[in-house]
Amino acid sequence: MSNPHNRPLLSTSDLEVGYKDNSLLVGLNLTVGTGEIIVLIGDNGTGKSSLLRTLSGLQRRRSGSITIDEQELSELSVHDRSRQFATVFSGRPENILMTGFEYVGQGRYPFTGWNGQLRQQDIEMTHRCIQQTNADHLVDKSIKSISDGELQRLTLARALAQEPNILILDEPTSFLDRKSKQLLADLIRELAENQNLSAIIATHDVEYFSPIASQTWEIPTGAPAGINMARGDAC
Amino acid sequence: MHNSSFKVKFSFGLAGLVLLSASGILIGSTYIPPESTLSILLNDSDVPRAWEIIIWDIRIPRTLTALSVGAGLGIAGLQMQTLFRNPVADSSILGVTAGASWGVALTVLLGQSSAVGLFAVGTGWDFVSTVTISAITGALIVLVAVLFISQRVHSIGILLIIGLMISYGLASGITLLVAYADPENIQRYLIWGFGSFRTVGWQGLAILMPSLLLSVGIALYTLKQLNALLFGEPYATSVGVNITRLRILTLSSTAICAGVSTAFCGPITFIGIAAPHLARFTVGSSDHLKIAPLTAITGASIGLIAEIIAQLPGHNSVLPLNAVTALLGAPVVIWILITYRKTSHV
Repeated sequence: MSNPHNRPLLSTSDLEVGYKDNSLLVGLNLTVGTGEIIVLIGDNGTGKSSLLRTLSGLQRRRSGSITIDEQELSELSVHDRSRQFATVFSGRPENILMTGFEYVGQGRYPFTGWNGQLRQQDIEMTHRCIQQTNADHLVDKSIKSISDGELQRLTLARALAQEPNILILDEPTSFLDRKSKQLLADLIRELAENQNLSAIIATHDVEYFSPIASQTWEIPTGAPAGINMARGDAC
Repeated sequence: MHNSSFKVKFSFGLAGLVLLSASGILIGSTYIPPESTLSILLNDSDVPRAWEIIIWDIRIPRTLTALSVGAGLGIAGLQMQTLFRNPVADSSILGVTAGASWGVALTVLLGQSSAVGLFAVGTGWDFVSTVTISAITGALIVLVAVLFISQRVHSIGILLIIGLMISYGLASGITLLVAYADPENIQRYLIWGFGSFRTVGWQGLAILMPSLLLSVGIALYTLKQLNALLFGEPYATSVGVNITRLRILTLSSTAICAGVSTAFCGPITFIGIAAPHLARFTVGSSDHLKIAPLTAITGASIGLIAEIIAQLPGHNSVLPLNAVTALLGAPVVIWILITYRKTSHV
């Protein structure tokens, strides 16, 4: 799958990740090509989530540079950033009443006008994304009543509705059963192959994602750390 | 499918609101026959002058006040519940209502109304009562403080606690004032605390309505952003919401609503908590684009119903508005808490 058409989409140079008085990761020179799947592993607390948030512009970096689509990340507006990255957070939203369709439709945020009304093309796109994640049967179901695996598919659909170039997934399988984990991994592989979508997946479920990954980034324990990079199984 | 059922519910709500508004104009402690009311509205002169005054200068302003304050407080409650991720939040949570109360307590309890009154006459604002000016001043001071603090506090949970602390601090200040005040002034203050839609009048409405329109206008502009916020601040940021800006807009909108409502009508409780929940359960969705219109309708309806019940014909005195809204609101809040018990972490 190491595709010769792949061009670098996201790259970092001497990136340092952490908080004001706490450096977590140093000297990162990472590159993500279009359609590439990256598996990010490491123990809890080593900075996986911080790295994901920093790469997608949700957390301030300590130093270094991040380039996305040939632009410096910090020069992008919040809106432009939302067109590059879509994030799938883990966990269930609480006390929210919405149908599957309404939930996925929220992903059209960057495209709708000030009043958030879905237009015809937004409705079509929402349906298309639901189809892509094989979640058609969930369109009219309340998100309160569906399983964790089903909800995670809708969450992926919601991220796709954002039409991003890179999917950021932070432990997307932590509440899922084995079958749902496999389904999610297969879906991400299809999206990468068919739509040239890139994905960075922080996970402990290596057995599901390593087979589809073109790179593995491993954060060793003990901060501040660098990242051990390896070619993935899918190269 | 969903849209059509939503439109049906919305139309029913709107029709109910029109009926309630009509009732608000028809029903009052003085009986005026419906046909006379109609001719008064159509500007016929065949009716007693006293009736004309009752309809035009009492019932219509009172109905408009109940309608707009009810709708405004409902929307403000919805904003607060989403911003603070707290099902029992309403606009009083910011401390702005307490600020308004404190302003009123200071002038009324210290017997300083005349000083503020002189200021009012001097500035040409004499149609607005001294109580209103004190309340607006108090609310503004707290609003500025809350906006200042919100710039420095990142956690929304901490902001919520700070708002509560401001309210407690101001409430204890009022207790101190009460402890040393004249019984006569204490009574005046207590009566203000009952809440009322009937003291506003046309001139008050000229300030109240545009302020509430501004508040609701800001709220409408942020509905889309509040939807994203339902899934947490990190998610909202990731789809392009500027959280700092959203907070400032939401806090300002809510504070304007709480400030002017409290200034003109006293601290009106319960509508802000109950209306959004009723709307949410009626529509069966947390989508702000759908629940906001119904929250406004529900809030306005509760305001009107409470106002009509407070002065039903057959008894001469007027019931305290807050007693009536609480009678309506308390069972609703209890029901909400029981429903949320399973999943709530509050």
